[in-house]
Amino acid sequence: MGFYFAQALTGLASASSLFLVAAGLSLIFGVTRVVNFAHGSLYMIGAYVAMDVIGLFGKVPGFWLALPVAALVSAVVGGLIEVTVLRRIYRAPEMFQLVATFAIVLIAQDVAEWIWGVADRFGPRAPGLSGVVTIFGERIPEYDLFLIAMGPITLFLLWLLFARTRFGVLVRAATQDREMAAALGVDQAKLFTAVFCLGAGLAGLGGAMQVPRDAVTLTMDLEIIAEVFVITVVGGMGSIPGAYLAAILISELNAFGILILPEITLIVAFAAMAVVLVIRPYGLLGRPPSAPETPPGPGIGTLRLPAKVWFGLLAVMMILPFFADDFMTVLIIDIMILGMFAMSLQFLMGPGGMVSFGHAAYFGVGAYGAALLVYHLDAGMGWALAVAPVAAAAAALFFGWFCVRLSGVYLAMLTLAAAQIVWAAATQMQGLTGGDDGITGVWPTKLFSDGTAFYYLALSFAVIAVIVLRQATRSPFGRALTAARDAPLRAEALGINVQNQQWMAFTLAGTVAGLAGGLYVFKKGSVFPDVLAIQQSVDALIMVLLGGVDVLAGALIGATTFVVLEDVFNQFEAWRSMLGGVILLIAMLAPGGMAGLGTLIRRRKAA
Amino acid sequence: MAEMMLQVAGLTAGYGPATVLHGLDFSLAQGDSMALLGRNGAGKSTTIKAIMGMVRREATDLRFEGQSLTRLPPQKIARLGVGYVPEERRIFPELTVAENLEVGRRPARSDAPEWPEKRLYDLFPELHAMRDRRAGRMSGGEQQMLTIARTLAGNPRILLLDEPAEGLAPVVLDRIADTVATLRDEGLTLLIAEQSLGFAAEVASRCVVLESGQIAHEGSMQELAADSALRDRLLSV
Amino acid sequence: MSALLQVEDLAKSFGGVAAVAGVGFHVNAGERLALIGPNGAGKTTCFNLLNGQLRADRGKVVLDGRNITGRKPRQIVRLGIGRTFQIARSFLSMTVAEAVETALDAATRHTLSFRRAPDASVRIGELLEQVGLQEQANRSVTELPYGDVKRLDLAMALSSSPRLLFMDEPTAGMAAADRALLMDQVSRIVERSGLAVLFTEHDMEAVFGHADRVIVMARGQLIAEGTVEEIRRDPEVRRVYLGRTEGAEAHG
Repeated sequence: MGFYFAQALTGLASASSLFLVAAGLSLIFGVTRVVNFAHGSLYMIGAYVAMDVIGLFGKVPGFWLALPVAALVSAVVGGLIEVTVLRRIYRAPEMFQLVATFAIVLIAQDVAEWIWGVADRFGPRAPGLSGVVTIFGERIPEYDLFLIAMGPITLFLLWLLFARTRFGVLVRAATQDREMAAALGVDQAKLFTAVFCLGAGLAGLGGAMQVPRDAVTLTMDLEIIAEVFVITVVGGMGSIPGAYLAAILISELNAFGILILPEITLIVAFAAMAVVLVIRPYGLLGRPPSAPETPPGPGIGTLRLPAKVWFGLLAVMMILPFFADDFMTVLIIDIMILGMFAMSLQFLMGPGGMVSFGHAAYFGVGAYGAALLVYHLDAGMGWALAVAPVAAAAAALFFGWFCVRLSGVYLAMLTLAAAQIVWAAATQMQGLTGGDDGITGVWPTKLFSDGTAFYYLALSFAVIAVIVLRQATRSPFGRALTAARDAPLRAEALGINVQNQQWMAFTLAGTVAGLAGGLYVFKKGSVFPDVLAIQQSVDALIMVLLGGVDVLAGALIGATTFVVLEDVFNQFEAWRSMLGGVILLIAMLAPGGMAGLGTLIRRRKAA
Repeated sequence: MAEMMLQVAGLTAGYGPATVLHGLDFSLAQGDSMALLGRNGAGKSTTIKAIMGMVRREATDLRFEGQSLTRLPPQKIARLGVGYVPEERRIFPELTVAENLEVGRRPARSDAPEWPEKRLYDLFPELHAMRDRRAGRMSGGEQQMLTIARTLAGNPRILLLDEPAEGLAPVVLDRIADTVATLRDEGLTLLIAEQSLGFAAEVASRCVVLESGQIAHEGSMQELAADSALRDRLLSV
Repeated sequence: MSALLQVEDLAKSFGGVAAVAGVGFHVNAGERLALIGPNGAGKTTCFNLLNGQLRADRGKVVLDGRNITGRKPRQIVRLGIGRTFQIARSFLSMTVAEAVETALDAATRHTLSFRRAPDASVRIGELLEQVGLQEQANRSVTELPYGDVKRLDLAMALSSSPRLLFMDEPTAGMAAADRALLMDQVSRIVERSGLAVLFTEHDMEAVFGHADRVIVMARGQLIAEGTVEEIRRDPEVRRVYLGRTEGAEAHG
C-alpha cells in the first residue's frame, strides 16, 4: 500500500515540471495559433541558467535565486524569438511555422553547446529540501513534496493572472475571438509578445525546477517536447487546467506503467492519448477551434515533371557509376535512399496535405523490421527487404488510424508522438532491439556487397518508388486525396470518404518510407534508434521544404541539396545552426522551396 | 466643403475569390446618422467590415477624420475612435459581462464623450445586475446590449452597427432602438447596416440602399419610408 | 401524391436558441423550390440539416420513401442528392476537367483506384457543356472568374446524376448579368433532366424568374408557401422583410 502511495507521489512530482512547460505551450498556442517546437529549448535554457546561478552564488541562496532568474532569462529569449522570427510567419501555413520553430531548436542547441559545453551537468539537491520524510513507511524526498505543491500553486497563480488582471482578460478574449479583440483596439503584436514571454518563462521555470532531479543535458529539449505535445493534446490545446489534468494523468500512468511494462512506459501514455482522442478529439478540456483551420497545403498547384525528364534522369543515373568514384557512388546511394524517404513524405504533405513530424517512424520500422529478421531469424536479404515495407505499412495503418482523425497542428503533434513511441520501444526493449547499441552486422548478400551492384539495387528501388508515388498522385486515388486537401467539405459532399482516403495515403507513404528504411540498413550494415528520432523526421521535412512541397521531384532535389549541405556544413562546428538558418530563410522567404522558386519566378515574369 | 468625418469612395470588397461590393461612394459628416439598407446578401455587413479592415478591400479613398484607413489594421482603426458593433454580437462567451466591457475599454480622448463604467451601466441597468455572469449565458437581447456597451467603453467618435436588430424579440428591439436613438441625439455619429426598415427609420435620418453590392438609392430616411413603391422595389420580395 | 423529398417537423437548437423550430415541407420531382427568408431565419441551418452536415434534434427527412435523417453527407450524396455551396471552394490545384473527373470518380466509388476510368472524357465533356464550361476544360481552377467557379461547382454536383439538387445561395458573390446566366443554365438542366432543385437565394430576380414554388422562413419557422405571385402578395412575408412597416409609415 505504502509503495503504491509513494509511486503516486513520484508521479505527481514529475507532473509539475511537465505542467509548467505544457501550460506555456498551450498558452502560446491559444493566442497565436503557433505550436512552438522551440519550447523544449526554452526549458533547457532555464535548466542551464539555473545551474549557472547556483554555480555563481552557491547552493544558498543560489538555488532559490535560480528559479526566478531562469524564468526571466527564458522569457527574454522567448520574447526575442517572437519578435525576430514568429512575428514574420503568423500568416504562413502551419507547416512553415512548425519547421521554423524547429530551426530555432537547432540553433539553440548549438548556442547551448557553445555556452555550456557538451558534458552533462548534475545539479545539487535543493537546500533545505534535501532530506526525506517517511509517509506510510516509505521514504519520500522532501523536494518531491515541494514539486507536488508547485503544480497547484502555479495553476492558482495563473488563474489569478487570467481572472484578475486586464492582461489576463485580454489574453482570454484573444483566445476566444482574436479578430473581435482586434476590432476593439486590442494591440495584437504587443499581446502576442507578452504571451510568448510568459509561456517561455514558464518553460524556463520548469527547467530550473528539474535541476535537483535530473541531469541537465543538451538533449533534454527534444526529450521533453514529445511528452509535452502528448500532454497538450490530451489536455486540450489552449486549456491550462486541461494541461494540469493531463500532466497528472500522463505522469501517473508513467509512474504505474513502469511497474507493469517497465520497458515501454511511453506506450501506456500513447494508449491513454489514443483513448482520450477517440472519445474527445480536442482533448479533455479542449474545444473545437472556433474558426475553420486553414488548410495546411500551400495550394500553389501541383506541378508535374514530364515523363521525358524522368527518363532523362534515369539514363543519367544508369551510366553514372561508370564515371563516379567510390565516394561519389556512396553519396548518391545515400541521396537515393533519403530521396525515397523524402518522396514518401512529399506525397503525404503535398497531395495529402498532412504534415507529419514523425515520418521517421515508418522509415525506422522498415529498417528495424529488416534488421530484426536478419539478426534473429537469420533471414536473407530478399526476405528482409520484402518485410521492411510490410512492417512499415502495418505501423502506418495502426498509427494512421488515429492521426487522420485530426488535422493541421494536431495531426503533426500526434505523428510526432507516435514516432516517439516507436523510438522509445526501440531504445527500451533491449532484448529485442539491442537498445542504444542497436543491431549491427546486417550486411547485404554477396551479390550486392559490391558498391556498384548495390547502387543499381538502390536505383531500381528508387525507380519503383517514383513510379508508385507518381502514379498514386495522378490516379483517381491521388486526385480524391488532393480534393480532400483542397476543399474537404466539397470532397465529402461528392461522396469521398475523406478520412479513409487520408488513412490509405498515410499507409502508402509509410510503406514507401519503410522500403527506404530497409535499404538503408543494408547500406549501413547496422541500425540504431536514431533512425526513429525526431531529428530523422525533421531531416525529411527539411528535404521536402528545400525542394518544394508541390512536386514529387522536389523531394529528390531536396534530398540532394540536403546531403550536399550536410557534407559541407559537417566540417564546421556550428553545422546545426547553419542548417537552422537555411530553414528559417526558406520558411520566411521562399515557402515554395527551390522547385517553387522556379514557378514563382515564372509567374512574376508572366505577370 | 467641410471635411467629412467618414469618406468612402470606390470601395470594393469581398471574401476570397468572391467580390461582394462593387465600388461604393458615400460619406458621413459629424453627427450624421445613416442606415445601410438592402436585402440580405446586398453587401451591408461587408461595407461595415470593409471600413473596419476586416475583409479584403480596395478603395480609391477611405478616410476617417482625414486619416486614410486603407493600410491600417482593425486595431489601429478602432484606436482612431471607430467603434464597431459586430453582426451576431460576438461577445466573448467565456468572459463575464464586466470582463467583456474591460476588453472594450480604451483611454479617454478629448474629442469624444467619455464612457466610464457607471455611465454604461446607467444606459443598460440590466447589465449592472449581471456583471459577473458569463456572457455566453445571457439572452440574445442582453448580449446585444453588452456588445453595444462594450464598444461604447472604447469612447468612440463614430459607431458602426452591423445588423443590431437581427434575431431580437420586438420588446428588446424597441429598447435597443431607443438607446441607439438616444446616442444619436447626444451627437454620436452613426452608420447602421440594417435589414429592418422599421428599426432603421427610428435611428437614422439618411439612408443608402444597396443592391448586389452597388448603391441603388440614396436619400432621406423619411422619403424612403413614405414612398411605398420605392420601398417595395428596393427592399420587399 | 408522393413527393420526392418529404421534410417533417425538422428542428435544431444551438445553446437553447431554436435556429430551426419544427419545419415541414416537400419537394416534388422535377420542381424548382426556392427557400427564402430574412437573415437569421434559419435557412442555412435547415440546409445543413438536410444535407447531413448537422444532426437534427428532432424531425424526419424522407427521400423517395426512404428515411435519410441523420445520415452523413457522403451517404446522402450516394442516395441521389447533390449540393452546391454558397461560397464555392473548389479544388484549386486542378484543372476544370480534372475537378469534374474527380467528382465522377467519387460518384462511381472509384477513389481508391490507381487507374483512370477509361471512358471518363465523354461524360466530363457532357457535364462541362451543361454549365457552359467546355471551353475552359483545361484551364486551372485558380484562373477561373468566380462565376465560373460556381458553374464548376454545379457541374461537380451533377456528376453523380442526382435526382435532387440543393443549391445554397447559387448566385451569391456574382455580378448581376452573370447571375441571370447561371439561373438560366440551371433551369435548362432541370427541364432536360427532370432534376428537382431546392435553393436558397436572396436575389429576388433569381427567385421570381426561376422558382416554380416558394417557401418562406422567419425565426426558424415556415411562415408562407405558394407560387411566386402568392408569396409577393402575402402580408406576413412583406412584414418580415420590411420590419415594422407601421413604424416606417408613421414617419411618412
